[in-house]
Amino acid sequence: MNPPPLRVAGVLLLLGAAGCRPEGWSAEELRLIRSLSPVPPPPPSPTNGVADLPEAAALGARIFTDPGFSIDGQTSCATCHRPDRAFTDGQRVADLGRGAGTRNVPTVLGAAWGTWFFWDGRADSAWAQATGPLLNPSEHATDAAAVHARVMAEYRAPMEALFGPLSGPAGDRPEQSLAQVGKVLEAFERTLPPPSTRFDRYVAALPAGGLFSPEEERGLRLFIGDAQCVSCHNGPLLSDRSFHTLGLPLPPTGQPDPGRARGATDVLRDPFNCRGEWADGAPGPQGCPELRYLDPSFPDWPAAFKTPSLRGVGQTAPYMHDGSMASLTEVLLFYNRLPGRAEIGHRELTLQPLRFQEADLAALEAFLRTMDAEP
Amino acid sequence: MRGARAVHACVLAGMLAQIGCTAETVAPPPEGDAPPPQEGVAGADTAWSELVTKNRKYRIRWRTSKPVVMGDLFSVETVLTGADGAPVTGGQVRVDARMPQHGHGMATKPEADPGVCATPDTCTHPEGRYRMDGMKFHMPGEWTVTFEVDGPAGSDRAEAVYRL
Repeated sequence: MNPPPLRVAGVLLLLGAAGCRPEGWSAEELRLIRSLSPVPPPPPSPTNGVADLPEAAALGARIFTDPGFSIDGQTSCATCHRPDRAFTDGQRVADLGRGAGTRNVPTVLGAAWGTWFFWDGRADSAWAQATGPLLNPSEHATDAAAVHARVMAEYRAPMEALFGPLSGPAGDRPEQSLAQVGKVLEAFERTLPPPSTRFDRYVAALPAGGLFSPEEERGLRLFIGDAQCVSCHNGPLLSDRSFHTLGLPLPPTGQPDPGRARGATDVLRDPFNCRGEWADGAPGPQGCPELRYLDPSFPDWPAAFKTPSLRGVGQTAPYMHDGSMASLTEVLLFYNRLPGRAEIGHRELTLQPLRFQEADLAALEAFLRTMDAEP
Repeated sequence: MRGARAVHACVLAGMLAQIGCTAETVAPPPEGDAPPPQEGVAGADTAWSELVTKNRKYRIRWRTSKPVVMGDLFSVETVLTGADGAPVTGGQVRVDARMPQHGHGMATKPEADPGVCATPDTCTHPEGRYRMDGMKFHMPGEWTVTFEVDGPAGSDRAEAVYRL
């Protein structure tokens, strides 16, 4: 790239005043890089009493691949969250023949580390999220009563072993079964950590080098430096767990997707949220601080979507919430030019065209591929 | 001097990454010096920092309840004293934060701890201690933390800069 003179001056000042070695990492850079790895244990799931029980995870694994929880008997979680594709489906948006979705299928790897779920954060736990696709008419298209019936027919004993006698065996409270299915699905997802990567080995070995090519190292330097990717892709998940507006083109329908503006409202009235009757531990309003302090009218929510993790990003194409970009190259070109404008909401002010040369974009992409899952 | 150096280091770090640097306290000027600082003060993680409000009506000591992690909720604790140094127990301190370079504030609605209340209308804050819950910094960079104070000497405000 050709940095503007001011930036050159800034970097020179930095090198001089902060004692950087041009061929190595400064103390601040090291601190920043180390903030991205390793991945800590997942935070607890306070509203799911079976979240960390192996029996629940095993049951969740069975249900994850059971197409019996769908209207056509052919759709399971694994239909779109394919284990052989990093738990994504490789499609722009899923189309199961019941009306195409509007958003790209996200991976479930690392879901346990999330705060908000779905691209718009309309669920506040992984178990609440798991109930959504079951009911979505474009996805499983089932309902609570059918879920309850399936549980009673196929899973009653193991579910009662986990949760006690089903209070509504006659199906008078089917939402309970729906919530419980969500909870065992979350228990299974908690066994799916974000991918371990060569980047993690590189960070663990610092300040020794050798695991990265010069191009990958340069990509990392750009990632935390001039490209400022780390402004949003930060922390061990390479995601700030927040929501931002990029100003992507309108979807084919021509109707802007409200994104977080709707998700923030929806999560507050979700019957499966932290305040709901199906949340374990009876946290009540005072025990659900994320909901309590959430501001659904935050002016930057329109058309904002959750920052995705970059762990394993090379395996989760296509990209963006609408799956509109087929490759990492395309994504980086978008950030390089930032064409268009936000149709609703407003693009993050700090998001400016990178205006990098091809070699720098290639270096960034090479660095991103160090996040590929290792066996 | 220590504070100035820390701020300088942060500016340098900001050129590189704008993340993960908190500056040290700049002590308020002695009584009688011209205008007290309203900015340039940052809260080091869980360490107390001190501010003088714009019109010198109050002194504020403040800290975060825990080291600030981006995207995690935290509280801001304040100790409010009058110009005479006596704790202000019957006041109000509302804390907010904005990112001036981004044009937005926090995506949460923080709430002030009501204090010790005999009735909802008669709350006090023993030893001048106040707390604002539900703060969250969801992006790295420079946050301007504002303190809106009400008390026996009237309203006043102060600002601090926090770099995350």
